[in-house]
Amino acid sequence: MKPYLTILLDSFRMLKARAIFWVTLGISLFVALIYLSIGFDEKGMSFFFGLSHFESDNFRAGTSASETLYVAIFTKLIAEYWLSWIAVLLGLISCAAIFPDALKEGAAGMILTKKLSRIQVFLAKFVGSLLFVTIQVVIFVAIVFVAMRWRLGSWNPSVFWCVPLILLVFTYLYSFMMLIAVKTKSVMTALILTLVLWFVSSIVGVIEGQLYEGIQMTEMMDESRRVVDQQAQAAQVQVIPNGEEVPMEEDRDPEVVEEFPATESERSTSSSTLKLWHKRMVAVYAVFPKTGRTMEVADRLLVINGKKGIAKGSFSVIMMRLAFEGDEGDDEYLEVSEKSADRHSTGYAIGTSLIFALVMLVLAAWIFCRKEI
Amino acid sequence: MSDYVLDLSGIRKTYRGGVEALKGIDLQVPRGCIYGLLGPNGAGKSTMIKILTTLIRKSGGDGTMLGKPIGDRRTLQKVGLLPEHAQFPDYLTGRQVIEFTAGLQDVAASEVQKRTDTLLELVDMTEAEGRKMKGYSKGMKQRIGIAQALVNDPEIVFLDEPTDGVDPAGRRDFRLLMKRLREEGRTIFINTHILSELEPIVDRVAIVSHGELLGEGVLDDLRSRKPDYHVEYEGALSPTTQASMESGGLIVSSGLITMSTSKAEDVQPVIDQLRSEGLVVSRVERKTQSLEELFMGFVDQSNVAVPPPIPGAPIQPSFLPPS
Repeated sequence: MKPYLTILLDSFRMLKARAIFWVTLGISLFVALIYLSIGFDEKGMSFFFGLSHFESDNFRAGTSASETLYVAIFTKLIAEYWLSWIAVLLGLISCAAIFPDALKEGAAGMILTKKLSRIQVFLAKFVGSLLFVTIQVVIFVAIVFVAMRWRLGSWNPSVFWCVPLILLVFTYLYSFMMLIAVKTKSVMTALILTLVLWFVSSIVGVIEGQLYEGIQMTEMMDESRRVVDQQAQAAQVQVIPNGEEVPMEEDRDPEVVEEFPATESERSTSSSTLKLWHKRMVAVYAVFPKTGRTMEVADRLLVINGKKGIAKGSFSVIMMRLAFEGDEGDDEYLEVSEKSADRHSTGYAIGTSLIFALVMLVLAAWIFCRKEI
Repeated sequence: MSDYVLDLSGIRKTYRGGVEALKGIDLQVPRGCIYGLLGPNGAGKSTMIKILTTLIRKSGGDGTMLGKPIGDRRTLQKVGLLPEHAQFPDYLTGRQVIEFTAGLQDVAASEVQKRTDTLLELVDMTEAEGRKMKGYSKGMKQRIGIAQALVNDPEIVFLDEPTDGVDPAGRRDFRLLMKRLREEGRTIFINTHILSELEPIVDRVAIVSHGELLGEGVLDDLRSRKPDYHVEYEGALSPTTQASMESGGLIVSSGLITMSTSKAEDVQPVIDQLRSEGLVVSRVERKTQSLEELFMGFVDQSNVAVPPPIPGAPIQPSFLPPS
């Protein structure tokens, strides 16, 4: 056990010795402080500890809308952008050198020639790397936890779900980075290829999501159209998408027919094409780590107004929902967006990503154990 | 259990790309000696240490270290190592580096501080123990490197180019330290090409070149294999005698005759001849090779190019004169 702890302690010392550790911590504290500075009073919202004020009937102290907004600022802006992008990126940069450094000729002799087997060293270094993200995120979330108590008047321990979720996101990417690092022993190569993977997986995820939303929108429009067509058929007229009523099939304008897939078969072809491409993208996306989807799991776990998982969709969607409170059902976009947020289960998003990470880790460990120095 | 701390047989290493770093090395290292592994750059010395300390895998051959097969992890707990071009974490202090190795080698917590103190004193680094490694000179780093190699109270210590970058005072201290470790019963395996460092302290040497073991044994025995006798005289030798001696393979220079022999009786006729000519024999000395001469002799021999056989030519026994 002692040799493990020695490597963990060394990892901590190494990270502590790096300027980027303190820079990241400093920025984290700054962001947390900004969050802490947002408050609510009887008249509305205040920013920067009251320096700036915004009057609002909806977002006043004690309203459920203000609580939703405050938590949404954390989940949708801070966690989704700062924690899951910038903090993870800084974490990757900080830890990029750990394995290449360990495999340098003069350094390897210090660690790999001792009692611990290589696989044990590998695991200890891996866990040591996770320390970086853990320390950063725990400090940050702890401040957010205190901020919520201060601003909303109640403790919300569900924010700590962000810690394991960020660690998962980091693990997906770091496992790939470790594989490249032990293979090439190059910090830059490992970092660049990891960023490429991250970018590609995000793009694939966005495309898959857009296709899904496209299908949903098509189906909704299709359904609306079917209802309208049925009503029009009864009235012996045809309705084109701008709402105009025209005579039945024999008198239709050919340009209108071409431009709008008015018939059921035309609409069906369009929907099938979307579904086919979506199916393909789902297959491609399955093998990629789902960093964005993993962070979205926080939406399902965070408690707002005493309920779990109501902050679905993007920040703008939540703002729209808060704005349209009492008038819901009109906005199809909101419905599609919420459906899209639910399109993959937590188990699928995290499970497939963990399989990816596990494969990367096994490969990296195998290379690390076989590496000649 | 083998009497040897290291017992290697036919150790081979072929790197990817076909480079043969070791071509079947047989080596036996007795317990409690200072053993020098000598060889020019690229001879395979570091490859040997890397195989023994599991940094690389052997391609063939067998061997034991401290009675266990090479690569046994528990055995490595009894081994100390100062690798070549050792890179210590520059964010650690000298003391922390020693404690770090102690932790990796699972040294009991109660022992760590005491041993670290002792070793820092031993390598004369007590005053600088709290400074970060990045602030140390090369020699100071090597001192810490030697100290960390000893923190687990090892039975065998591998030192790869240990005096690289160390100043003369440090080298003297190093020699004294090696002697002390030998007195404590440890085996010191030193890999170096700085022969003058090794000569005063080494018990046995192995000379490696191009991955092959050229010679191995007790240093004094190896040096005695090709001794010279030096006969110094006063006066002028007659031209006839000088010519006669030179034709007999002796080297005659002003006031000195050098004979390549290990037998004292071979020298007697020369002394008689000098006396018969009325010359004064001022000194007769049996000279052995220095380690450097021994080393160069082996290496030069190995570098003598053997002409490749002419394709199709009949193989001729070496004792027959060329046809």
